[in-house]
Parts: sequence; structure tokens; C-alpha cells
Amino acid sequence: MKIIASNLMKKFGNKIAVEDVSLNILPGQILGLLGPNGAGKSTAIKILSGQIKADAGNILIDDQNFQQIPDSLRSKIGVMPQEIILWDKLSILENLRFTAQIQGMNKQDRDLQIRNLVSGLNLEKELNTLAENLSGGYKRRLNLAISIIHNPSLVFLDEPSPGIDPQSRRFLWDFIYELKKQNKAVVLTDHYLEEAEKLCDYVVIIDEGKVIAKGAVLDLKIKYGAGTLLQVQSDNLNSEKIIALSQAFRDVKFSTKGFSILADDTVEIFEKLIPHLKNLDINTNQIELRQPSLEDIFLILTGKEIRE
Amino acid sequence: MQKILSIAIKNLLTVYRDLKSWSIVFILPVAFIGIFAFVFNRSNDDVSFNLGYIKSEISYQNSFINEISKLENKKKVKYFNLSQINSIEEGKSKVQSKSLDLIIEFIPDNKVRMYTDTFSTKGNVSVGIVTQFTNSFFTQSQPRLEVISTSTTTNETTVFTYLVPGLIVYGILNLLPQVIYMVSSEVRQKSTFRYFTSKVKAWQIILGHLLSQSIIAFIQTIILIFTVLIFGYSTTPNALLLALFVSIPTNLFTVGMGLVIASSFKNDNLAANIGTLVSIILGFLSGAFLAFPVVKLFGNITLTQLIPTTYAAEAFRKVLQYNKGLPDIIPELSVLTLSSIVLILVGSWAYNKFQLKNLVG
Repeated sequence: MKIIASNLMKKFGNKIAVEDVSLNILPGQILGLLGPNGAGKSTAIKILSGQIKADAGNILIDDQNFQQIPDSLRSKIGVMPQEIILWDKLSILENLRFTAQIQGMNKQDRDLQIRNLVSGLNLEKELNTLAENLSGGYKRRLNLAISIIHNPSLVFLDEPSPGIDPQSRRFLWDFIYELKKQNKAVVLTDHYLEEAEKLCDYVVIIDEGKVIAKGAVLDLKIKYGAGTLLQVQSDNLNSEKIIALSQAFRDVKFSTKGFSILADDTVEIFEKLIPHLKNLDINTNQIELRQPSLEDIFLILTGKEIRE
Repeated sequence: MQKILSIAIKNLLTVYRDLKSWSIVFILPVAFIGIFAFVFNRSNDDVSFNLGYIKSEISYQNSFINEISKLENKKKVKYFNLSQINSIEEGKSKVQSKSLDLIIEFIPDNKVRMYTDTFSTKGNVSVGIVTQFTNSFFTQSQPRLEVISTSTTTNETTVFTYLVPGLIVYGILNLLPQVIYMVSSEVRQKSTFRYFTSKVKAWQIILGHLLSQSIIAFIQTIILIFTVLIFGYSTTPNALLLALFVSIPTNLFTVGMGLVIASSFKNDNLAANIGTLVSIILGFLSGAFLAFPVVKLFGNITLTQLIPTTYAAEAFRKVLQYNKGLPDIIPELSVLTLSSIVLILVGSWAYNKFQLKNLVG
């Protein structure tokens, strides 16, 4: 299933949730939809999964033009919402069976898919435990399993792994990679940019409803993050020091932990920085030199940390 | 059909595993009946009610007094000791001194006014019996009516036996909060999102709820009837079977009403509170506890005639207390069935419009 969305716009009252958003969702590709809280990611997912209608824009699905995802295509789409939505009084197995039944699956397909999901997401141990008694990690994995029980060709994952243990997160991310290998199109939003960086083939960064950058992770790094990142941890920055640093360095970005400078020439930057640190009396708890990550690029582009 | 069955089974499992649902569906009504039985289930075979009436020139008074004086229980004990009084004041004084339980005054336009001590159990019960009798008396075109034939009942008549049909209706009405709890908790937990992203349709969800709640309601009715039997209510096996049959449209009506309320409100607490309120109001209006007075709305239409559960209570009363057969309760069953169908259709529409379509945004 291939979706080409162009110029999507959605308003809630006077507030524009997404504006002029265009993106392509392709089979066998993981698309990362990244942005700070309230950026418009969830609204974009709701439009692209047919939950709400865009106020403007076009959606081309397998070369057919639609204003909204039609109900008939909904069975080809799986949506894992941000919230954990399970039937608490049903066990893992019962949750899976029930969801498969309301998706209209026949017994043979149902049993096969349940077996695959249970083994792929490592749910065997708690198969007969009621959902209300599961740990957060199991709940998240079950949340994903029942979202894709009907074997959709397009999967939306809206922040699939917040607040879960590293092992469960690892299961989830391995499984998402498996979905890609099965030639499914996967769209995910996440706060864990390090993992998104490893998984996503293509990234769209949204801020305040608008797409501010998009491309393959490597392309984004080359375009926005060429050079070396000099990261300084400091605990005594104030407005005076921030102004002074901003005037002295072109690509300086500040965060709660300190500041970072994107440098083409590391030696030159160091020579310039050391006197400033002394003159401005800036405490330096740690100075780190490294290649920019997706998180750094996100900070460079939006001026915000993703978990702000 | 598979989707409807799946939803019904899921609901049944949820109720089975949820203590709160158990208490609403099974424990509460049984406890309620138990309390009523404890308070009111004392033999009335040697208890009569002292009824005073004020002599008037109303034409049907003699016939009324004559007929009501015939009311008697199985052991041929008269329900009422009748005495004539000269004025309301005299009667009220006697009510206060407990020498009278109830005073009735005949006034024009086929109306009877009653006075009693509202804190007196005997007074309230006698109001119920006289109201039942009066309703029956005035709905007959001829004063020579067939009086509610308590003398033919097989029951040992107590206040409890009088209350039993109404208590069963109220027990069934208690399902309202349960139905609402079931549907609205899915909305609160956003489980409706799963329906929205599946192939299931609103009418299938509603039918799934209807099926599961009807099964629960049927089990509940069996428990209710079993409970009243334990507390000494006696009736024939045929009457019990027919009562179970009457419970089916009554249950459907209750479930339909619950679905309409649950589907129409996004706030589950508000929906549950409205459900509780509606069940109490319907219980009273349908005479579940004591017969509701005749309140004419327009023409000969009374308030209780507009309440479908009135017909349920009447059908249960006819079957359980007066040993009537199926042909005698066809009108009541028809009203209940028709109103249930209307409610289920409205419930499906409201669920689709207010719960599924407004799910996201």
C-alpha cells in the first residue's frame, strides 16, 4: 500500500494542527514522524489512518485520489494509539482472539496470526493473564499485537514505547523492524530519537504543524549536521552568557544541560571557545566532541528538545 | 453473526470477572428483595385494614363499597373492615389514633381521595390495594365489575406477596446502571477505538451488548424469582414459566433504555447517575413498590399508561398473583416489545452518532 499525501491541513477551531504537510508512505519503509509534543504528529496520523478528515489536501492511495481514507481501506491499516487500549478483563489470548473476530478473520488466519504475534512479541509467558494484571511492557506489546492482528499492510505506531523497560522496548523495536522486512509500510512517531534513527529509513520533522525538514536520516545529517558537534555541559548559564555566546558563535544551540556548537573546523572552534569560557566564567562540567545525532539535528532545526 | 457473538461473549466474561458488575446485577436486587421480605413478609391472614369512608351522594359509591368489602385473602379473611365516618376531620383524628388505616372520600368525576398516615406501613399498603382496586374499578364501563379476585389467588397474601411483581420489575430495572456501566466503561477506556478501527458496525456492537445483557437479565430474573420463592412466595409452576416469558420483553426494554442512555452521553459518570435515577423513577411510576395514583394527562390517558414498565408490572401481577394465562397478557407484551424495538433502534443510532463518529477529533 502506497500513500502519497499532499498539502494536508487540519484546524481545530482557530488552532491549526497541521498545515501544508506532504509526505510519502511506501511499502517496506519505516517513516519516522518526529516532533515535540503538540507538533501535530498525532493529528497527521489520524488523517492518514482515516480517523479524521483533513480540511484541505489530497491523499493518493495506490494511485487513486481520495480526500479521506475510505472505510473500505481501513482493514488494510493498523493503528497503535498512544494510549494503551485493551480489554482489561480479558487475557492476552482472549484480547487477541476477540480483536481478530471483530476484524472478521477466519479461524485459520486468526490462529496463525495469533501464533506469529505471540511468538514475535514474546507474549507466551503471560498468555492467560488478564490484561489488567500485566506489566507496562506486556501491555505495550499487547497493544501493538491487537493493533495489527488483522495483518495490515500499513501500520501506524503512535509513540509505541514510552515508559517501558529496555527489554520490552527491544522486543518492540525488533518486531517493528520485522514488519518492514515483511514489506509493510510503517509510520511511527517517537520520542526516542536514538532508536528512531536506527530504525527509520525516512524522517519527517514537524514543528507547530508544519514540516520543517524531511529526508533519509543520513541525508538530514549531511544537510543539517555536517561537521562535528561540540557539546558543553554547564550549570551556570544565564541570559547574559547566552547572549554573549550567541553573538560569538553562529550555530550554537542551548538546552537545559548546557549548549552545543556545530563546527566545521574543530580546532578553530576550540581556540575561539576557550577564551569565552574563561571570560564569561562558564562552568564546564563536561566537553564532548561527536558526530551529530538525529536528536542534535532535531535540536538544531526546532531549537527544542523532543521531550520538552 | 460471529462479531455479535464475540462481543456478547466478551461482555459476559467481563461481567463474570468483575465484582462490581456482580454486585449490581445479582447481589443488589437479591438483597433488596431480602430486605422487603424481612420487613413485609408477615402473614396477613389475620390482618385486616381499617378503612373509613365518608358518606356521599356519588352514584357509584355503594357499588364501590360493596365490591371492595368483598376483597379477601385465601383464608377468606376480608382485607378491609369498613366503617362510615361523618367528616374528614373525624377520620384524620382516627388515623392519628391508629383506629383507622385509611380514609377514602368520593368526589365527582370518578375520583377517590385518600388520607393516611404516610409513615404507617399498613396505611401505605392499604393505599396501594385501594388504588389498584380503584384503577380497575374505573376502567370498567360497568360498576358491576369483576373485582381483582384476590380470593382466587393461591398465594398466602402478605404485604410482600403484594409487592413481589413490582419488586421483580424493579430488580430488572436495576440492570439499567449495569448496562450503562458496561457500555460507557468501554467509551471511557477508549475501547470503542478498537471497534472504530475494525470491521464491526454500530448495529453489531449494539446487538452484541443486547445479547449479552439479555442473557444476564434472564439469569437475573431466574435468581429474582428463586429469591422470592425462598422468602415464601408461592405460585404455580406454569405461572413461573409465564413470568420468565414476561421477563424477556421487560429485559429487552431495560437493556434498550440502558443502551440509549449510555450511547447518548460521553461522560460515563453522568450516564450511570441518569441510569440510576431513571430506574428509580420508572420503578415508582410503574407501581413497582406501591400502586401509583391515577394521574390523568389528557383525555382518559394516564401517566402510568405511558410508562412501558407499568405494563411489565401488570403482566407479572396478572401472571403471578391472579394466575392469568398468556392470552390475558398479550396487550402488555405487545407494548413492551414494541417499545423495546424502538429503544434498540434509537440506541443503535445514538451509539453510531455519539460514540463511534465522535470518537476522534
